[in-house]
Amino acid sequence: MSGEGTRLLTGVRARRIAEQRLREEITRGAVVPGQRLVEPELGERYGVTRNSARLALDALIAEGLVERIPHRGARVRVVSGSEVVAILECRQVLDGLLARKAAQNATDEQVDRLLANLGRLQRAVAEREPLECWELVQEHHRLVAEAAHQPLASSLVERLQGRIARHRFQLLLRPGRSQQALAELTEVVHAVAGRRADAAEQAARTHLQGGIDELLLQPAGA
Amino acid sequence: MGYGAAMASGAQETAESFVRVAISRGDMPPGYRLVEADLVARTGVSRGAVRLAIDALIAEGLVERIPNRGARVRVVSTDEAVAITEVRLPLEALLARKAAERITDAEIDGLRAHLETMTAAVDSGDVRTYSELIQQLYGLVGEAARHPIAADLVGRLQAQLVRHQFRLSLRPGRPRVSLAGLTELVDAVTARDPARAEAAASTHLRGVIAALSEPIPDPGGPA
Repeated sequence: MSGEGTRLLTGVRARRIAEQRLREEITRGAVVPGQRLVEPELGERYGVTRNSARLALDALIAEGLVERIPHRGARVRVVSGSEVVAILECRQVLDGLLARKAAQNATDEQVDRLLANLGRLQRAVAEREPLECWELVQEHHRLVAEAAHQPLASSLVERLQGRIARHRFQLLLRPGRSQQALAELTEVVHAVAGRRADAAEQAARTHLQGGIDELLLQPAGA
Repeated sequence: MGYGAAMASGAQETAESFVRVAISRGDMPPGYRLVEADLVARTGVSRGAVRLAIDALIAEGLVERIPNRGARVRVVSTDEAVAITEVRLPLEALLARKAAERITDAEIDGLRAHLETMTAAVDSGDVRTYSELIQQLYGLVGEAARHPIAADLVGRLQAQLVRHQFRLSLRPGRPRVSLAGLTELVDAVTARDPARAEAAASTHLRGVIAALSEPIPDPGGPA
C-alpha cells in the first residue's frame, strides 16, 4: 500500500493514532474477534512505525480487547456473550451512579450541552445515520460522566467500555434500536435537567437493560 | 481470578496481590515505602515484574510515586473514601443481588457461620478482628455471586478503604450499627431474595457514606 518515501509516524502521537484506529476497526467490525494482528501490517495500514503499532497493541491488551498468543503474535480477543452481559451489568449500575451524580452536580452549561447533544441525536435518528447516532450516543455518555464529577466511576466505565463497544455498536444497528435508545436517553437527559437524581439513575439503568435483554434473547453474531 | 488475570503476567499478578493484601491487612499503612529489592525478596518474582506491579498499583491509585525515591502507599482522604464508597455501593448491591440468585446451600452455611463469628467479635469488643471480618464477608458474598467482573472492580476499590473502615469501627456504637446492617444483608442473601439483598447492601453502604461524611471525633490521637 504505502509507497517508498512514505514517512512513518513515531512516538506517543503515533501510538495514539494506531490505538484509536484499531479500536475503531474492532468496534465497527472491520477486524473481527480471532483475527490475527500483525505489527508490520498494522504499522503500514496506519502509517506508523512497527514499534508504535506494538505499543498500541499493548494498550489494547491491557484493556482486554486484544490478546497475545505465545510465539504467534496478537489477535482480537473473543469476548464471550456471558462476559459481555457481566460487563453490561457493571456498566448499568455505574452509569446509573453517573446519571444520579450528574442530576445533582451538573452545571447549567453542562445541562445545555446534554440537551443540545440530544437534539443532534434526534436528527441523526430521524435521518437514519447510524454512524452519527453511535458517535452522539458516545458523546452523551461522555457529557454525563463529565457532569457527574465522579472521576473514579468514569474511569471504571471507560475501562469496561472497550470490550463491549463492538456489541454496543452492533446492537444500535438493529432495526428500531436507535429509536429506542433515543427514547431512553431522552429520559436520562430530562431527569438530569430536572435535577431528579432517582429518576436519572433509573433511566440510565433502563437504557443499559435494553441491551442486556436483547443480548440474552438474541446473542450477537460475529 | 477475574478476566483481568489474562491481562498481566502471573509474576506481576503475584507481586500485585501481595501488596494489595498487605495494604488491606494494614501491614503496609499509608506512607509505607515500597522497596523493589524488598518485594523481590518477599515475593520471589523478578524485579521487572515488581516494577510492572507497582506501575499497575499506581494506575489504580493505591500507590503513588515519590520523585527519585520510589513509591509509597498513598494516603486516601476522607473525601476520596466517600467517592470510592459511592462507586462501591451499586457494585456491592449488584453482587448481593447475584449472590441471592446463585448462592449454594454450602455457601449459605458458610455465610451464616461467618456472621456468628462477626457477632462474637462485636460482643467481645474486638474491633480489629471485626474490621477484617467485614472484608471477608464481602469476599464471601462476591464468591457466591459468581460475577468475576464486578468482584474484580470491587476488589480494586476495597483496599483503598481499609483504613477508613477501621477508623469508622473505632467510633462508639458504630460496630453495632454496622453489624445490624450486615446481618440484614446475610439474611437477605441466605433467604435467596435478590431485591431484598440489593436493598440491604445499598442501605448499609449509604450508612457508611453518611458516617464517613460526619466530622470525625478521633479517639485515637493522630491517625
